[in-house]
Amino acid sequence: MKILKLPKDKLDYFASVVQQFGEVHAPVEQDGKYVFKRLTRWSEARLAYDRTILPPKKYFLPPKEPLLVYRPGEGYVAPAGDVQHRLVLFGVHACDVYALNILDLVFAGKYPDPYYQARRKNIAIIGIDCVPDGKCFCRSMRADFVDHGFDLFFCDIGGHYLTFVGSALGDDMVLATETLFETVSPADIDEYKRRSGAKHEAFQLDVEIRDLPEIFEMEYGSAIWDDLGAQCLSCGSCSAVCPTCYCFDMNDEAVLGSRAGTRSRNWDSCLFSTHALVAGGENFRESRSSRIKFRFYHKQRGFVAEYGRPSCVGCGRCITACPVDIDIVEVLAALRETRHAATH
Amino acid sequence: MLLHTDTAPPLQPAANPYQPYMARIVRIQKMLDDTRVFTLRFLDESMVRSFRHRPGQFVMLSIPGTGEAPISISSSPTRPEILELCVRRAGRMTSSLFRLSTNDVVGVRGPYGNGFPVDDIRGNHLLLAAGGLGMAPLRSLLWYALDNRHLFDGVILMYGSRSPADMLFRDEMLSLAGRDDVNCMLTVDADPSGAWTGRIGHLPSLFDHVTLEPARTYAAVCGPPVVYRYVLERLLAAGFSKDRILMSLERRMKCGIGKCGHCSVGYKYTCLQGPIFTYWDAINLPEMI
Amino acid sequence: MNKTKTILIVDDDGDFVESLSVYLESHGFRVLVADDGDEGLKLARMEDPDLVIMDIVMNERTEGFFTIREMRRDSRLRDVPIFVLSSLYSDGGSFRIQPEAGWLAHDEFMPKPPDVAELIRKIDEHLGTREASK
Repeated sequence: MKILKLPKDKLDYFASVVQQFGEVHAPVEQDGKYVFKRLTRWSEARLAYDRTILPPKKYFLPPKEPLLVYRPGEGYVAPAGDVQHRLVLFGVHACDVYALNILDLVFAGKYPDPYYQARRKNIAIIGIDCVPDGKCFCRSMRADFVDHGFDLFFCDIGGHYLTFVGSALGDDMVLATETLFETVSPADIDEYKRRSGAKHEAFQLDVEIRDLPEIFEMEYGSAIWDDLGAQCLSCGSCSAVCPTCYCFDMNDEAVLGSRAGTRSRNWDSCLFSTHALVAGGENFRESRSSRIKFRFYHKQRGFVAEYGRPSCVGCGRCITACPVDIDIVEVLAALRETRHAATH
Repeated sequence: MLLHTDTAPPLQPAANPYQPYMARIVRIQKMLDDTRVFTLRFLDESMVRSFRHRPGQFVMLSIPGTGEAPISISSSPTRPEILELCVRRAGRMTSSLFRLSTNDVVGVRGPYGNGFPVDDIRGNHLLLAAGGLGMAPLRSLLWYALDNRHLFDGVILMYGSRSPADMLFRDEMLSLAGRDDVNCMLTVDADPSGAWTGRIGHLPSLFDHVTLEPARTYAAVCGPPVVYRYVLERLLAAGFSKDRILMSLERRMKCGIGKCGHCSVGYKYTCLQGPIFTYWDAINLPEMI
Repeated sequence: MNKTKTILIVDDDGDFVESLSVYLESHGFRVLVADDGDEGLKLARMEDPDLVIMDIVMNERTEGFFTIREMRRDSRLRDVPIFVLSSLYSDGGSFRIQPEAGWLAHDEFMPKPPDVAELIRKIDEHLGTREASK
């Protein structure tokens, strides 16, 4: 991978130039928290953020997205929409890039999703590295480093950002601002490695994940799920803020008095009571405990069976968002402890 | 003068798996008060020629203005050009469907799902055990087997309904009695009309009247939960291996293509790795039954 | 019948703006002035100028670039010629941006202070006026 470096005091110029590749969105401050938003000034950007409330997935899988428009005599047609809108997401953390790579798997496969894929193609990703806080466990989830899925990735090495060029578009961005970038020296690489090592040490949370499939199989009937079911409000906040939750509902909205209408998809959550409800009234996950068990199961074990790794990236958003403080790290630890108790 | 626009040039139209193909309702057969068979034909002739499904697959049916619902295909791929969907009115979508008439147009996406593993069943005996509406998906397998008779050894049909009036495709079923290439065993729980000359008894009781070779037979079962329970009991008692028992399961579906997350069972998607599962899958995937 | 053309100058350097305004007005242009990006955006939306002269370094070092992009989001301002007049394009400094690289959506780059004859000539080109010959 091509690696260059950008002096930190040139970052604002770089960001200005990059506007020609699309509308620039970056984390900005809002009521003491951070959200990804369109920038009207570079000074609005807060690149030293811990986490945004909603992850970048909101750009690729909008909360509500019209998929088809129906008109009698014409059938169902995809609307013009905004999938062709070019954006540049500036300042995406590695865990969130990793999450997009996971979503790429889900929305590809036998039936590629053209809406998601168009957005992924038209939205550039400029990553930036970060310092873990008390809720980050991306390192445990192996999501603290990405080698693909981004166009550029900036890593702080003091007076400069080490710049990884991840795609031809990233290369075009560098070429458009050639005069800003410098070549990398061995000392720069050493500094990167030193800081990398320091960052690894800085993680406060450590979660063992290799035996999660085993633990989940054995703890399927555990009382822990009943306790969680009693605590959980089924509000779905964890799903909304999770960068790899992708469940959606589909609804047709008819134009009054006609048979024309729009079919849209919108964010859904397996925690909602209707998630497994079929016509005729049977609900395959009627109890809250069965639903919260399903969410953990799917995220940390089920996804492994389908794609080879858990879909959790350890970003800590669900821990932050849960109104009743259900903490995935604590739940996994409790499940592990339960297993040991049974074998003694 | 914009040197770079905010909008990428339009992509070539790619296959959009969410986009339905339009089909005309060419026939509606009223089976019961709440059950009808809709015969559909695609408007696009090339679709008519190219649509091929496997028995056990389903389509996502779009009712304009209302929404989409997954419906098993009841017709066999050996009888192409039309699709037959046997639908029970159970909710908003199906109620909307029941308000449509012949010549109305609906949307169809598919075929989706894995379908019955006909390649594995080839050369074996095939036992179909259907209860009530369970005949809807099994009928495609039934006619696939009868139209490709040489592919299978013995073919046994067990079909049980509440009463003769409740029997789906009744005339068709009765006509099978005259064939010597299928052991057609029909039964009803009760006969209020008194006109039924066939067997009266619950579906599982049919097992008392047939000798099975479990090691060389695949059993395809479909019906309400009570049917599954007792038929499975008889099959296991007869010595069937759990991976030779095939079931068609339903789940809430919104996309049919493994994206929306609703039909997940344990770590499989009913629309991708199902709806046909073996009984072995069923007991190993949590929350399957 | 030629309508008087309006030029909007967005620049926080009061002295420079003053002298440029006088110069442009002497050539028959109506001149509007804004001293930062937000003000410039507001005026542009209200007045629909025929041409914009944009400084870059104002309250922020890159304010002008972002203001240009904001303007281009407005359908009425999408095609208005924008001239970047900035010390970034003047001689010297370790930092120079190549206009040929395909910068944003502006039409001319000039150093500050500009060669005023050249400026007028370029304005004529874009507006179809004939001020340079006067």
